[in-house]
Amino acid sequence: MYNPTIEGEGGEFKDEVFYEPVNIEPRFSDPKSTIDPDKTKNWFWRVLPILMSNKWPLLGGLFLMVFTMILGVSIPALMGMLVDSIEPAIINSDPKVFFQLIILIVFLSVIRLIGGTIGSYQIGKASNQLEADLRSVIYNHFFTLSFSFFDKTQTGQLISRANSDIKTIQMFLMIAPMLMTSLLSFVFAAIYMLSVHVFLALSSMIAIPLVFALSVKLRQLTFPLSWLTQARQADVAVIVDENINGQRIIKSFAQELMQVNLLAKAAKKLQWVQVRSVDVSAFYNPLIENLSVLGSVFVWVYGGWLVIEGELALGSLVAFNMYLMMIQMPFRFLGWMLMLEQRAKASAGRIFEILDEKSELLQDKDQVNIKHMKGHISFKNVSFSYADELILKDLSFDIEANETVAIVGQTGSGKSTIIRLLSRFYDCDEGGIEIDGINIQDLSIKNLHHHIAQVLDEPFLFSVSIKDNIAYGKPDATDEEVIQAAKAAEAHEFIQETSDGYYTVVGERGYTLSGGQRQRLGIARALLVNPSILVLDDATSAIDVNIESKIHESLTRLLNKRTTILIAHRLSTINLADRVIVLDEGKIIASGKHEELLNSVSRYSEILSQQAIKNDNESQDNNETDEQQRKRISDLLNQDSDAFKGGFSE
Amino acid sequence: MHLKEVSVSKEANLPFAGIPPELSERTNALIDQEPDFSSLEVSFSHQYEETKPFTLWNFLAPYKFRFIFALILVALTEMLLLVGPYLVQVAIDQAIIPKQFNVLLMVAGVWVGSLCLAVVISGIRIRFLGRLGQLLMYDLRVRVFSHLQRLSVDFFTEEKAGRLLTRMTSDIEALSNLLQTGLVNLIAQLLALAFILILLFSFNVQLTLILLLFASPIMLTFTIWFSRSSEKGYEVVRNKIADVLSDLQESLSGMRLVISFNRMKHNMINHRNIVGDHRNANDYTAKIQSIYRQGTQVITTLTSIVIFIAGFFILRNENPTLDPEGAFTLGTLVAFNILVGRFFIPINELSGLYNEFQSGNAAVIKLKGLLETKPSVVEKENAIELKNLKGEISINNVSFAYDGKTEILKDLTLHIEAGKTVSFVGPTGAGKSTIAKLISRFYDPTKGSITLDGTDLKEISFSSLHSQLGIVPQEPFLFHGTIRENILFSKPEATEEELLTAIKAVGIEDMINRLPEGLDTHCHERGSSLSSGERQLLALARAFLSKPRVLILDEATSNIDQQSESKIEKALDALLEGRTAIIIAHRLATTMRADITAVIDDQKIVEIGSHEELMEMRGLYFRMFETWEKQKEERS
Repeated sequence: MYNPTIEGEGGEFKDEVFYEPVNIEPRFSDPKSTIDPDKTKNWFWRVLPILMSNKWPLLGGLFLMVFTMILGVSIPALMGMLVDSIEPAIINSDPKVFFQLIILIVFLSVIRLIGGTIGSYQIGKASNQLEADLRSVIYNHFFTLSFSFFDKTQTGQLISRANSDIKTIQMFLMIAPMLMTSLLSFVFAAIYMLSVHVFLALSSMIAIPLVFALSVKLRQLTFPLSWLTQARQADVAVIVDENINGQRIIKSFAQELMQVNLLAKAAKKLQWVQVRSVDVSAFYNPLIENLSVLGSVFVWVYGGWLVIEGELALGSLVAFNMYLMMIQMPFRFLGWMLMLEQRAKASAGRIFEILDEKSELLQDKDQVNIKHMKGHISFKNVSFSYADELILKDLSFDIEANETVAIVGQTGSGKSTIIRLLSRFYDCDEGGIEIDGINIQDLSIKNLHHHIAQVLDEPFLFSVSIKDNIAYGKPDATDEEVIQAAKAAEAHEFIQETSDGYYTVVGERGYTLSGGQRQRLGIARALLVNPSILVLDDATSAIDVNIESKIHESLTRLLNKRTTILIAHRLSTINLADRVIVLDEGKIIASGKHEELLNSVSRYSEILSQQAIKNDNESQDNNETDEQQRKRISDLLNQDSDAFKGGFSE
Repeated sequence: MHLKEVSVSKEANLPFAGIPPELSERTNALIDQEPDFSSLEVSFSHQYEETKPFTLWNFLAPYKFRFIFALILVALTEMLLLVGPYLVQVAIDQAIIPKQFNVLLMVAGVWVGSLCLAVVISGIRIRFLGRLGQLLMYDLRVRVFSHLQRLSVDFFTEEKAGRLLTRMTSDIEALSNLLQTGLVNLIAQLLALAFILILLFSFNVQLTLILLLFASPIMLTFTIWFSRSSEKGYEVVRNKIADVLSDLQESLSGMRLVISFNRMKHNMINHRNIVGDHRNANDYTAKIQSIYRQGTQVITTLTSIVIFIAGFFILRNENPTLDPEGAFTLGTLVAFNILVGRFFIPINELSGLYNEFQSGNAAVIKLKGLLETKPSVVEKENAIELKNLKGEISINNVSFAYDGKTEILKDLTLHIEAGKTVSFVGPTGAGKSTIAKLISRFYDPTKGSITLDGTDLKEISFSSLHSQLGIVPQEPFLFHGTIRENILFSKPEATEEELLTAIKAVGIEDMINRLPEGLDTHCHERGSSLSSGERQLLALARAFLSKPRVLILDEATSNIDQQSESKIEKALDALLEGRTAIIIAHRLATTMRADITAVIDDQKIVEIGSHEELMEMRGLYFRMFETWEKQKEERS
């Protein structure tokens, strides 16, 4: 009876573009590499392939940085020579050496300017490229993951990993080379100083370990303080947020004073922790700053004595002091870099956790592609459990091609699971699902999705124009096609009434649509791809009865051409179906025409009447949870406050 | 009893993830030291006080002597910073070149002494200013928040909520930054610049003029260029990262659609483009920064060279013997060069400080706007404390328009006897809820008056009015806290017995016992979410606890599931007994229990009477009743 057109690997349908419509020009090349899959490696080595896919700017930048660092190190020495050359130049009227040194310093400075600028720019570019590549790699990876992954993770967490964690790695990789080169400059400066005078060099560095130790101590003290500051700021924000939203209740019970006291307490706690931070920085910051000068005092006294004794030239002493300044810097930031490395490591760990996640849906290589799907669906002894709960038990049924079937059942009876298994969002534990006689696990997933379109009760709309939302599954659709689909879903009229018609931007960042309007756009979106199998999962629940009947008219016109599965509880929707399948606790208890079932199956009318109540109950609760509110507020605070970052910098 | 313990406890969800364990231990130790401010009480009055406009100057004026003291400390610190370079010149000219070791020791002694003094003085300065700033911020927080409590309900529209929150958070933070670091740094850097210039002029006028006229304009231009381009650059970066994140967010939220419509490839390319744009924006700021970082160093070095050349010629002309006692010496030249580096620091810093000053000033302007907003409904001075209300309400020829133009109510008159229950019915938008809002005095009528026990509402103090009025709105608002705290909200000082009585009266003891932690269950936590009916019952318990004389139910019984409906009807029996009640209702059952029902349509009362009387009229009420009946049948 069925004779599906089957195309193998080499068929005329191999062209994936057919399944994956693309209507956008890439402006940037794809990431050239991904992370090292070897989980035993250190985080840096795992990121290295991405970093090295862009190796010339990176290595060139590093080379230039080291080169200019060496030039930079030589300048104080030359300045010292310059000071020493003044005396002979004036007394002996021989300014030749003086001016030679001047020209040399100017020349080196210019080279340093050019080299240093290009070098640090190249390193910045390499780290930005790494950031961009990591972003794309993670984004692309999300699409390969199975749905159970998204069930157990929160979107907010994923976004924070894909954002702040990447940023932490990028920061480290941008700053590390700079600090490394400045550490290298310490080595050169130390060599110069030791070569001039060993004892003077060693004794001038006395303060450095102290400065380093104090900086580390300061950071250890600062972190808890800035963390608590941020937490207390969030507390204040939570009180204000609730106060604003609950203003009517507060006024109607005359609780203003209680609220002011509540805020005063939170503000007092914030004040307390901030005063603590002030005290810590009042103690440590002046100490650290002035301690580094102590080395200079020592150099001038001891070095001055050496000059008096004739063991050292005055110019060397000047140069010595410039070096001392140079070598203290890296030590003040060394601790900071070590902390950045720790954070980068932790961030990398969290990112790898996502990238190491593999999809549970296995794809065999020999996938089958069906060109023209007829839409005969058959479930054969399907069992499926989710989170240890058996949802479908040994379920078998057939849906003929071009048939319209309504699935009716209570919440939790497994209706939606059937749809998810059909689209292979999950794989069944036992049994199999066949379409046109082919097991869907043998079909390529893209081919399968190409033929099935779903409309959910709360269709997700993207923050793009209405037209792009309708054309989501077929980005290259013509305006005519989009309008046709919108008309069929009875959406054309209200679309035209919006400010920019089909070009009105909707969704989170745009025009707000009512639930019914969203559902109509969802239906238009599904109709546009002209699927062989159409699934409407409670897709008209929020639509006005009059409009629903109009949509039904166009649907009845369109339904005949395809297999349609309706999940519904409204009688008007169920009436559309040729056949009703009644599902109860994961099993089919009856199947037949609506009227027949009403008369013969008592459980059916029971389910129908309970459905009406259930639906009422489900429309509750869009209140945000404590967790969500905290998240929103801490996001808000992070946006404009640098307090937290302050904990990590000097 | 407090509404909630305002803290992020150690066990609670930390708002910021990813703290290394060794640091979280320290953080916990710090939290343990935190004092408990539970006995803190502040005063609050509904009276709007006319004060001086909120400007930076007026804000700081009461503390001017403390600020002057702080400025003296700042000036001292900046001067101490210059002791070093000055001593270098002394060391070279008076100790090293003339070979005077004891002078050198003296120099060292003075230098170390100045360093110690600097540590102490800048320590005091930071402490003093920091504490002062925090005190100011605390006062400002309480002041702004108290003002928010004074403002009327019409001010708190939904679109304002986010902005009001920023007033209390980031705007105050910006002002705090300006006070504690910005303003002081600005003055400190200007002072440093002045002191350095004085010292430089004392060293040598010609060299200083070279520095002032040639080098500093270059550095200044360069810094301004950097500050402007980086500001622009970061603006672009911020916009682009917002694009990246919203695309990511949408792709994750719409994952099912992306997969089932085979949009993966299209979205990957799209995301790559957005990410690429973000990278380009980052590259631009990286470029600007690289140029600036290297540029400032090179400008400093080249300025030194120019100074050396000029100094060389001055030395040759004025002091060819390099006499250390001369007017211009080698020591002066070296010290001058050390100061050149110092001279550029304030110039570089000033541009950053200017931005901070701007954002602080913007915050002041926004806060000024908020603090100058007057409440639209004001409490009269010496308002009457109305005790032991009977609950007799008179609405006399009341007209009302939210915007002053479109009238919602027109010339409405109604008398409600104490202890009676009145229900208002009518089509949506007819003005039923407005009547409730006027009686609660969330708004004042545009024309006419409302009296309570014969006293005009405008004469009654807010606290005595609201403490005897109980309002249950359509959307029960639950605060983030436990169920106990939410019921106690209306009367925080209530005893446990009163609480239990309220719970029993509305019949929610079973529901509460069912919850994992009973009364101490958090209302908004995952897993313990309450249905809309249960939340409404909590709101009724809350109203019951305050024992109001007048109860207003503003569509409180719509949107309720069938299971809760019967419970609510029972709860209403307890609630309505012995008090005046105004019910704005959708539901037939609720309306039918009223003594009088007023049908509102077209800004006025079109029908009034008991249920039976209204049915006999066969008017609007009759038609509405028929529709209700029909719906009821359909349901069952």
